[in-house]
Amino acid sequence: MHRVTQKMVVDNFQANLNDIFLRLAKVQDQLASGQKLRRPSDDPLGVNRALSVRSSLQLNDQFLRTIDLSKTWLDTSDSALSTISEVLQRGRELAVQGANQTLTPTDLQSMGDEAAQLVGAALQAANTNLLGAYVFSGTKTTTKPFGDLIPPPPPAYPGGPGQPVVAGGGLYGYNGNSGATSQMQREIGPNLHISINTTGDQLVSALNALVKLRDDLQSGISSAVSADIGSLDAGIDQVSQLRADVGAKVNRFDFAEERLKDFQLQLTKFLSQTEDVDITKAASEFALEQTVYQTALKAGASAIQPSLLDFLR
Amino acid sequence: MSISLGLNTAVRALITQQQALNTVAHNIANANTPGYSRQDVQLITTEPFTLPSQNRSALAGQIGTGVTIAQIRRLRDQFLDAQFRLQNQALGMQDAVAQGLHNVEDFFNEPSNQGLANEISQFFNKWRDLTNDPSNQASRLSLRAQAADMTSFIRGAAVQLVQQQQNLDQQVLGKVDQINSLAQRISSLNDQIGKVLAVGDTPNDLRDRRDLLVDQLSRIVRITAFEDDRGNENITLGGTQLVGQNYVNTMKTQLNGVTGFRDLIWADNSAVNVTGGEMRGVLDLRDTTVAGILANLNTLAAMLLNAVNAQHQLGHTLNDTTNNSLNSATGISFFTAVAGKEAATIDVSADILADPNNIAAATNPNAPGDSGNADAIASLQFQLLMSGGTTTMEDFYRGIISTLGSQGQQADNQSANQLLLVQHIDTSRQAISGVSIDEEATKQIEFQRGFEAAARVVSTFDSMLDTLINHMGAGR
Repeated sequence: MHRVTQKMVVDNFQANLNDIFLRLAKVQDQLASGQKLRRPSDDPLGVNRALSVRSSLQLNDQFLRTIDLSKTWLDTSDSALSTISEVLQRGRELAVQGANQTLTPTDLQSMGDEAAQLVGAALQAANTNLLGAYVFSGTKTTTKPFGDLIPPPPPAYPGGPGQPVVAGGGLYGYNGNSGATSQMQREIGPNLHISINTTGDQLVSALNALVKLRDDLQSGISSAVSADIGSLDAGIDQVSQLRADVGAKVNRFDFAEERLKDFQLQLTKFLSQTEDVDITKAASEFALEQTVYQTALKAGASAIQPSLLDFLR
Repeated sequence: MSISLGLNTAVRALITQQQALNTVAHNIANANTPGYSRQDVQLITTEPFTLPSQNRSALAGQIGTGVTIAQIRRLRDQFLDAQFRLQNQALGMQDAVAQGLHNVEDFFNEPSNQGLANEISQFFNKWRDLTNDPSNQASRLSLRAQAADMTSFIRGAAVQLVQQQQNLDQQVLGKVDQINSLAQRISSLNDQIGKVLAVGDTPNDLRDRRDLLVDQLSRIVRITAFEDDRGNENITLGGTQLVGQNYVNTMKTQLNGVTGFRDLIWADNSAVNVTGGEMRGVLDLRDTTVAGILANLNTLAAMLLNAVNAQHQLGHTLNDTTNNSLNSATGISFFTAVAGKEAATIDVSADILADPNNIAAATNPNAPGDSGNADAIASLQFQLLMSGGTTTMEDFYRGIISTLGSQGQQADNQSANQLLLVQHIDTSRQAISGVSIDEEATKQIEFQRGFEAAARVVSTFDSMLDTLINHMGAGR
């Protein structure tokens, strides 16, 4: 026959109580913190997954931040290109008007003054600066892309000799860099890069078409002005092409942003499933453990107390 | 046949019942004494008295002369003791391992927004921030601050792991003292028990005390113990005798020049073979588990240092627009560390600390808006650099954490199971050796009644003698 002593009952009671209380404390800790993963040994696999999801979430946030900044850059580029495009359109109108043989040189020269304004506006747009960085300089962001005039070539305008070369005449040269090394690559997904910048070398001919128009108008030679229409058209086409590229990139960024936001929601949900306590489940578990604890206390109190001695006189 | 025979029988009964009651009192008194085994009085009849007679057949053969105590034995099962000690050492080992691993878990603090996983991921994201705006001072300063945070976390973790090892080393020292002290006490109990046995007594309480000490020793280190026929407890530890008859071995420690920690040796300088118990757990933690985590952390720090530096040295800084390098051959390092102690010493390099413009974000010279190199460094986050080109640095770190978690979980589970097993065996031991108050109360009544009855018999004989002496014959 198995003997049961008072000490065994007490020891068992203490061990069980300790066990129940440990479980109760664990559920309580989960409820209070809202987290079911408190340390790696709670669920090694779950913790690994949680860490992985956390890292992905941060990366995702980072990509979204990059997209935000990149879109600002692209928008700035686009609005500058839009200005240049409008200026070129106006330049073309002036050129078409100026090609009219009936205009006097004085008329042409006053149109030339407007063309000079247009050159200034185009130049300002081409030198657009976003937070200390020139947008069209390639990666030489601290260098003004268009500032210095290349010394004017010998006056060889078809207007002929005797016509003065306009003061400050000459063509604009590009000071930034170009080609593969000038591209600003932005990462919008793991190892997915898109270049966000438009280099100013692609604007040189359009700008100089305007300069030439100005010079030709100011020289007052309408036949020369007529010849400028073609180069202005080419400039307009070129800038439209650049704007189309920028637009396409904005679309890609928008698309990526949408996808990343979707992914962010999924990740957040997944992380919550991995890390967070199911409140309903934990609360009912807590209630259950509480009941078990109280029952154990009650049972212990009545089992431990009496012995034969209580009934001996 | 004299009246005094019956009187003697009754008196002997009085004495015996009283002694039995003494044992009941002893049992009740020690009901809660750790290691106490209940004692049981074995009563036997005394030698019967054969009446001398010339004609045997006319009389009954022998007259009983009463009761006496054959022996007071303790109720104890040596087999359960051996079982208990075997499981107790495993419990000690798992407990020590679980506790040590929980300490390590605590200072890695995962999963949270304050752990190293977060630091590493933020570090690479700061490079991406710099990619977005490479000439911005704020981006550079914020990257540098993040790099400093991350390296200080790695250094802190390395320091804590080493401290953990040193704590464990101190524990080894403490446990050696405990083992030696327990061995000494067991040995001196051997002597006392031997002396008691020599005069033919049963040293119940001394044996209980010795068994309790052996139980305590069994938690600290795995031992085998048996009592020889002279009552000596013989204890061997990993094949070497620790306690024997008139013999105690001494455990010592010796500083290991390579590891910097203490090795265990016997008095004769031979190595101690520890196969279980808390000591095994502590040694495993110190030499394998914590050392392994430290080595992994070092591997991670070294890769971080080498990969980032190698890429960084290829880039161009904001300061030197033609050739980034202060030393034109190698370029500027982003991190610095003492080789072989990367985790403990990794830090942001002096060049970067001196000037954030020395961060080489550009792939090409003379291009402040070029962030190709920053982008390349950020993409190291996805490169399979670790474990022979199979995992990323983040994966590797997560591996460290989940291995730590699995080991902790395993130790927790095993320690819980082991605890149940030990409790179960102890319950079985208690079932045999434990004092039941009800039982003792019952015995108390039994012996009390026995005593009372014997006393009544004495007074009956007294009145018989009174009748004989005072109420008979010429004396009246």
